[in-house]
Amino acid sequence: MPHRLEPYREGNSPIHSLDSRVRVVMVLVFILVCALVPVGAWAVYILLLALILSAELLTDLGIAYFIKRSLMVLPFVLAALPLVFSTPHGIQFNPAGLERFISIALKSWISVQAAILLAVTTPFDQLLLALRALHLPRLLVAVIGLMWRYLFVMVDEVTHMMLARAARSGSDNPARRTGGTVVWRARVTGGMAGGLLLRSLDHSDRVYHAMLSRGYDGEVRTLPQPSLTTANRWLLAGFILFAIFLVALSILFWG
Amino acid sequence: MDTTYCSVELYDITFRYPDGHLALHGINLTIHQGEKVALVGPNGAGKSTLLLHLNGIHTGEGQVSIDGLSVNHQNIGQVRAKVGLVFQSPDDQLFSPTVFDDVAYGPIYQGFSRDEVEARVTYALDAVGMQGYRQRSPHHLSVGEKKRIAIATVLSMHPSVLVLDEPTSGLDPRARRSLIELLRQLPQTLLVATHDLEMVRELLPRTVVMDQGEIVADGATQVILSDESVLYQHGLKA
Repeated sequence: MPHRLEPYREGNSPIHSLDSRVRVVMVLVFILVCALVPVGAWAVYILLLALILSAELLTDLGIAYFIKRSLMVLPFVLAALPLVFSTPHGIQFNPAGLERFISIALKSWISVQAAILLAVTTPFDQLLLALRALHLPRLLVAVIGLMWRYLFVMVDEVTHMMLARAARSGSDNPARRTGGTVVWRARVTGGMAGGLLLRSLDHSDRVYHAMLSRGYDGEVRTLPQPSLTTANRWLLAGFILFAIFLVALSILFWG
Repeated sequence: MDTTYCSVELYDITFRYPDGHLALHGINLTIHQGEKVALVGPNGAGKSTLLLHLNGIHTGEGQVSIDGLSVNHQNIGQVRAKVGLVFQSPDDQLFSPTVFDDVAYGPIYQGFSRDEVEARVTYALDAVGMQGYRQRSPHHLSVGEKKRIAIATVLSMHPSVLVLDEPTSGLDPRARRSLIELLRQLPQTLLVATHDLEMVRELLPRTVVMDQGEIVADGATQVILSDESVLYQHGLKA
């Protein structure tokens, strides 16, 4: 039974069956294009959105699945809100700022959808292998891998702690005021966070010892991966060329 | 028919996890006041899920009542004060910086005065024989000590039912022995989910066997634990 936070969804769609390395590179290139396209290049944004939506359609999960998850970008987009009201002459409405703000919001939203698409269609081990194939340092890949593995353990620990707290948060007399003071509740929560930190340190020690006792020497080894097929090479080359063309075009027209 | 007070009543409990996994199916169980009951069964049988129904952390279809009080959203606080649930991992249960803070959590939450909190902590730590540990950090205790403190954290709420998940797992024989003696002295109704059949034989006169979300046997411990076919069939003996 997969963990409830596990983003990967099994499937047989064309997106799923693409080589993971190709998928990772395409998503990274796509996000880079989103970042490089100048402010106000609406036509290009629409094209990028159309691309990502079609890819989402291909996964058979439904566009709503992705849109719902991509909304998490909203709070971060708010950080760009001051652009709308800041001008060199003080705080007032700035139409150019509004254009920048909407552009940033759209670009972030499209990029996040690409990242979600990657996470949903790529098992995490495949993602790590792809990062290795891109020559990301082994140690970094190992750290990302362990982080992912133990993230779920930590989330479960937090969930259990909160259950244990809920189980003891009761009162036999409904008339009495319950819940303690705000300060006391904050202290309890602080204690939980501190306890979790101590446990995670212990845990990492134990994991490290288990790794050492199986011969870990600071070097993470992986089996060699098969080389990319010719078709995949062409696909990748074509996509990268298209991306360069798109960025160049958008800078020419809107930059 | 027995006329003693019903401590725990489960009527036709069915529970499905959000991912669709059917964890409990048509559970009926009645436990009388002061009864000491074992809940046994293979891993994944639904024992822990059932325990979480007793204080309304999980609510499935069907009816749960504790001391005649039907568990619902309005009285969840009262129910949690009546049912002391001790989790399998004491690390989950003990979330405060000191033993005192942890044992005092329930009473402080309930809004008792400082003196009453102090008295309840003293009572609970006495009951588990850990009076000298008040200012210690739970993080640095042994597993056996942590288990005792975990029991104290619910005793301080003066529960009428004690529910324990795997109380003897991970204990050395001496710590296990002293925990069994501790449980023997507690007057509360006891429901213990465990794989430790030796403890069941010694401590819990009634045994309920669960498998695949259903109760498959319920009766006197002596009878059930001497029925080899039941033990083999439900993974209690291999």
